[in-house]
Amino acid sequence: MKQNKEMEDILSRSSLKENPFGVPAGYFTSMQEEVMEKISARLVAGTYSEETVQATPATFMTYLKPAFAMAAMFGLIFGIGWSAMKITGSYTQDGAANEMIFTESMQEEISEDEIISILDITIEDLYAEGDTETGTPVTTTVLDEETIEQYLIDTRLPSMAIALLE
Amino acid sequence: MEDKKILELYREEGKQEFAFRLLVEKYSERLYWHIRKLTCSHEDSNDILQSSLVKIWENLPNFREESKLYTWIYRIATNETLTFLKKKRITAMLSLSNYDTTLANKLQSDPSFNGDKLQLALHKAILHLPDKQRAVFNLRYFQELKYEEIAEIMDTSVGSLKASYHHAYKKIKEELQEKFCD
Repeated sequence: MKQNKEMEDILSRSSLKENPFGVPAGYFTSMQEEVMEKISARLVAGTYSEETVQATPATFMTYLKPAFAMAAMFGLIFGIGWSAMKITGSYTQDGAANEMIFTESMQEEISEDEIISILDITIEDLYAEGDTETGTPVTTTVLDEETIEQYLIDTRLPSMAIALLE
Repeated sequence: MEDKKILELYREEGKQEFAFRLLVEKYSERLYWHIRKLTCSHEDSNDILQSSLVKIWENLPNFREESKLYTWIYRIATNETLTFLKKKRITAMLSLSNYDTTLANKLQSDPSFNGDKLQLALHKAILHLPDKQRAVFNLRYFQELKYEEIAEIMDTSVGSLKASYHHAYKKIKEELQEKFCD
C-alpha cells in the first residue's frame, strides 16, 4: 500500500512529464520549410486545385463499391473452393481408373476355364452348398412340369400365368 | 494566432498558403512530440509528421468546424501514426520479430534521449501498452488534454477512454513498482 502511494507520487512528479527526447538543431524550421515547399510544389503541379479539394458528393457508386468488392470476394472464395473440389474430384477419377486397370490385369491372369466354371454357378448351387448355421447339407428337390402345373391350378393362379408356363 | 483567425484567413482568396504556414508553425512541434513518443524514432516521426501535414492541407477545405481545429489536426496525425505502427507490426510479424522489442531497442540506443533512469523506465513501460492505449495515455499524461478532447481525437466515448487511461496507468505503475520498489 505504501509502495503504491509512493509510486503514485513519483508518477505525478512534473519532472517525469518533461520531454526527454531531442531533435537535431534547427530541425523544426527546416521541416516547416520542407512542408511548405511540398505544398507549393503541389499547387504548381496542379495536383491540388480548388476543384480537387471540394468535398466530392457521395454518388450511388460510392455506396455500391463496397458491395461489389464483397461480391467479388465471395466469387473468388467460391472459385477457389470449386477449383479445389474439381482437383480433388479428378484425383478420385484417376483412382477409379487405376482400379479398373488393376481388375483388368487380374482378369488376364485367370484362365478362361476358371471364369466359365465361376459363371456356371447358379443360385441353386450356392444354396445347395449347405446350411451355414446348422452345417447340414441342403438337398435340392427336382420338380417336374406336371407337379408345377397342378400346384398352380390348386393355388388358383390366373390362366394367363398357366398359359405362359405352357 | 487563434485557430478561428487562421481559418478565416484561410478562407480569404489568395491567402490559403499563408494561413496554412501559420497553422504549420503553430502545430508542427506539438504534433512532432506526440508522434515521436509513439514511434520512438526521429526519422519515422519526421516522415509521419510531413505526410500528416500534407493530409491536413488536402482536407482543410472539407473541415466543417464541427470539432475544434486542433483536435481535428491531432486526429489526422494520430491516425497516420497508428496506421504506420500497424504496418510496421505486420512487417515485423512476417519477419518473425517483435516490434515492441524493436521500439524498446530504439529507445535504449537513442542518442537524443536525455532522460534519467526513471524516465527511461517510464517510456519503456509505455511501449508495452497497445498502440491505441499508448496514444490515449500520452495525450492525457504528457499533454494533459481533457478526456472530452481526447475522445474527439480518438473518435471514441469519454467512458471508454477513462477506462482505457486508468488501465494503462495501472499497468505502468505496476511495472515501475516492480523495477524500483523491490
